[in-house]
Amino acid sequence: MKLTSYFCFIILFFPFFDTYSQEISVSGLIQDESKISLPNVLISVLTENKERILYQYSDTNGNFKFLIDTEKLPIYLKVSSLFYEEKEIKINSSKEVVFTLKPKVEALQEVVLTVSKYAKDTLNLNIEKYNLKKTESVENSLRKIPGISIDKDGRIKYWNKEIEKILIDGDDLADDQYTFISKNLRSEVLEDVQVLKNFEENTVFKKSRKSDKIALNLKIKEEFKNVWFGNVSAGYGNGLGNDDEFKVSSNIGLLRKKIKFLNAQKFSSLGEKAVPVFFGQSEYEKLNETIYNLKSIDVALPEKVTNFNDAFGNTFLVNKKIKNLDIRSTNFIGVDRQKQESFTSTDFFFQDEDSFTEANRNQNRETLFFGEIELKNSTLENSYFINKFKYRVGSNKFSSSALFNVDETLDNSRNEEVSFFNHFQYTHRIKNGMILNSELNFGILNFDENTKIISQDLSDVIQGVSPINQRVDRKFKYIDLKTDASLLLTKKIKARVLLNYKNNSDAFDISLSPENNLYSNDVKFSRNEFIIRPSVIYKISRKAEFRSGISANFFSINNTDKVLFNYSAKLSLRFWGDLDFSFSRIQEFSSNRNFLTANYLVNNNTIRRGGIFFEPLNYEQLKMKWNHKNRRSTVNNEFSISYRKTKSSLLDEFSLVNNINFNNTFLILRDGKEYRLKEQFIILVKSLGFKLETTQTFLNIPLDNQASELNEIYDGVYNFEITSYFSSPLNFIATFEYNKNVQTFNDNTSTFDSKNFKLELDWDLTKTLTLKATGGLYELNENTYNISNITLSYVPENKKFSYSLQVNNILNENEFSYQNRNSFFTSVTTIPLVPFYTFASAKYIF
Amino acid sequence: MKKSIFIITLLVTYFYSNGQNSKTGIIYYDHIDNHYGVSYNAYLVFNESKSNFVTAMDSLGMSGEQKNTEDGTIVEASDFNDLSKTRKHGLQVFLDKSSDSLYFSNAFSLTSRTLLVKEKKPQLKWILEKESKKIGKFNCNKATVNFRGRKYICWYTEEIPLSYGPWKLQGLPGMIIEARSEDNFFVIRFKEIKYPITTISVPKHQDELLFSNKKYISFDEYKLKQKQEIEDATNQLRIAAKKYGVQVQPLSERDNFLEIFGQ
Repeated sequence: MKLTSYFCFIILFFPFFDTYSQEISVSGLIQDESKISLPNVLISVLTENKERILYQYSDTNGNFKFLIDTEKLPIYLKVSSLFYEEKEIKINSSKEVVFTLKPKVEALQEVVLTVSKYAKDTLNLNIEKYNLKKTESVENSLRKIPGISIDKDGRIKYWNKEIEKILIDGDDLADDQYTFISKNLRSEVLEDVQVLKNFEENTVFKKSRKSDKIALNLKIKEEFKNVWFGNVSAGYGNGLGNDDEFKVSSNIGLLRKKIKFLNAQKFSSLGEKAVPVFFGQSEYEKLNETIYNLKSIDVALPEKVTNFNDAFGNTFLVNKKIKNLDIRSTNFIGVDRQKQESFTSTDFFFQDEDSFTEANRNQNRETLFFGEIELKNSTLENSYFINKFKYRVGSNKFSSSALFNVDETLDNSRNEEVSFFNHFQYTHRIKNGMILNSELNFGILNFDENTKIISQDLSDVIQGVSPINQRVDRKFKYIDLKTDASLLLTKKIKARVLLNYKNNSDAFDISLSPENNLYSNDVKFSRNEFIIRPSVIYKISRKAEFRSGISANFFSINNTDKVLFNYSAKLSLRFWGDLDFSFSRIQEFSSNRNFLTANYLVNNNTIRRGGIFFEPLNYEQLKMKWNHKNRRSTVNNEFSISYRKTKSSLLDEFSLVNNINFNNTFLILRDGKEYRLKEQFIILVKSLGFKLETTQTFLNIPLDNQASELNEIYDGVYNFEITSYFSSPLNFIATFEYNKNVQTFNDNTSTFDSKNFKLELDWDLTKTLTLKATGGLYELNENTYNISNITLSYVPENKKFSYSLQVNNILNENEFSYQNRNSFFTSVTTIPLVPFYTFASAKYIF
Repeated sequence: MKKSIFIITLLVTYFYSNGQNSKTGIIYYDHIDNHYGVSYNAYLVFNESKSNFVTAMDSLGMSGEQKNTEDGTIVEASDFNDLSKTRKHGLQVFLDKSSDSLYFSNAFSLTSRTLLVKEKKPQLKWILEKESKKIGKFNCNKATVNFRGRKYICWYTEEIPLSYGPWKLQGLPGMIIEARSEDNFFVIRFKEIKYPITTISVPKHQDELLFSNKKYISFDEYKLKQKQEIEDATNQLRIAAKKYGVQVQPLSERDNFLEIFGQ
């Protein structure tokens, strides 16, 4: 049967083969003059026009064989090799040819200069792979990109390393205030996001050192370059509360090669604040705490659940190139109007009174103008300079009405700040690769506060005066000069020396009217510091490294001279996992405020004072960390233990007398101890990841300078987390946390514990529809709070409009409580929550 | 005149008598590896029957050690945190025309060990294009091929009628002197050719590539190792992501490996 069909097949198809594909065979042998066959010689079949139609290399025996369509005849057979002379013959029919080749003497010598252009230190994140919505902010898009984490304040980290700034097509618009960009720019304009490793703007450093800094660069799509673009969005919400919720925002931008410009405007009643958290600032810019403050809340819940805030903000960013200069400016104005109620019950550990209760109802209006102008020249051959000038003008008005047990207190306060900061840096390359880098910082800060308090309790303490008026006038001036040089001593040792001179004066004028000597701080602190800090890194081997640094600070405060001597050493080994040992000693002076010896008011029932004992804080620390993982990286274990011995520390002592909190701050010159143990175990099982983590802290701290008894505090945190890695569009993270805290002093023990459970769900229902749900179950003192939010967004493709629907506080939980503790008291604060509401918004982009 | 005739005769006799084995040439390439963001000095050394491609032996970029750059400045080490992007023996591909097999060494990451692998010589289905251009003095023609998940665009010259090329790219009617994958993951640029050359020779046998008591593993084993590497690296990413509280996606084979097996 099989044989019959085979024959049929041949009979049927043979004529076709015969008609359409007649081939001739051309084969042959390649050999040299001594008849030794030559392999690896190129044989080409060429047409009459010498176009190649087939080619082959001779096999190990020097043979070759072609089947050639007769239609293509005549053909030419060309034999070529780098090592033998070329031969060519004409072929008209099937043939066996023998080519005998003569050796060829040929020399090849050619050089082509190429310029390597490769994306060194740049990592493209290929954002098109992730389900980004074109109308969402860059910040929301970055959250979906692997490796990027963004905290509550908008601070961005890439694999736990904080970024320096966000550039737009290589240009800086906002320096370290990059949230102005990430929160306002929409992701549709992005072509891609790049991580710039080894990021260094200083062109002299860039050429000669590697940096460990990173930045993000936003590559803009061609269609958004050179055109005005922007968006307008509006939303409205209502629910079970009395207030309507609104949010309106608009953005406009122009991105050209020579000028880049972005303006963003926003009004929102959804709880988010307009005034951003400023980060990456110098130590001087952080000096903006006021003396008299409103009692603030500190709770780890989303802003939209806890904050009753109306925010308005406008940000203007510009970057312009004029010849060789880059000019950049950031300008911001923001207003936050916040209402906050709270009820706190406090137990003072060393006092037998019943719980002290207070109810606060606050109103606050904060206005901030902030701006900077930066000039830099990055085109010079061997030097680089940059100058940054910043201003900060702020005004804060607040009032509160409070009940301390049953006594009523009213206060209202207004504070103003006008400050200027200047930073100048000049880097120059001297001969032989030596680099000199100098920085000069100077500035003036002015703070003014006026507070009026009506309180019977306070008036009883302060000699019957009512109302009480406190005035604060603070002026701070500084100059800071820094020079550093670094060099490679040997192939394995790198050294660096830093010289730093600091001079500042800080004048406080705090007084009551009418005047009271016990409540008057008219004092000026002058500090002078000269710091020498040599450090060294020694790469012992591929698996061992040693780093060490010492620093001597010749310090003086108001003519009291001290030499502060610090050192640190760290040995890192790569045996049995990663093993680190470190040891350090720190000596430093605390802030000037702790040296104000007369009383002053810091809030509506707290009187504070410090001490004039000029001694540094002093402690030593020893730490060991071990990280180990299995071969397939499915299990990772990290264990660390640290011991800290405190020789002198600052103690904030609290005591309550007649509803007034007395807060004395002084230096304790007795030994304290702290032990901290951390264990983290991560295991991956198929598409689930489990993390078990615990931190155990044991503290032994003295509470005064005389008695021998130490205060013992134990704090244990246990954390269990499950993450899913499903390939489906639904994924979750669930976290359970338990915290226990025990304090013992003079045989008195107090404890508290808390539990919470959180669940986060991300569900890409379709390509255009996304659901995000977050829920938390918090247990405290047998009360349970359940706080859940849902956001549904619909972003149709290729449309100008997009929509979102939020449901806030689904279970309409009306309050939330959290705990606070220090060595002297524990407190439970209860705050009202923004009631259930739904909020719908639409966005139009252009 | 007599002198020059004598010299020519001597030279001819020399090349003649040295026969096939001494006819060795070398091509220096610039190998741009956009995966690690680094540029290597690579070379292909060849004779009549064998070729050996070597890369990642010497880095053009900053290697983490002090190095004099072109403009005379001194580049400092970056606190020694850099991973070395080169290795002692480099990464090699050895091709012996008399054998069916190709021998190569590769490493899956900068920190992982070098693997030595034997595979059946890949038969590349080249498409010869009409386009031509000049690279240096050589007239070159374009050819493309789809090979293990990527499209390669190569320029070969018939003026060097040899089937060799960089990495595993070979079998064209002329030496490949420029090559890149369409996505620029892998880029090879011609820098220099020297032929004949006596200072360097092609390994006589694949075993010359072996070091530290290593043996060649089979290609199936290699593919399995690549699959395992992707799983392990994904696990590592997930562990790091768990530590730092970030999102993570499985390691992409396309973004991290030159050869995509999609297993």
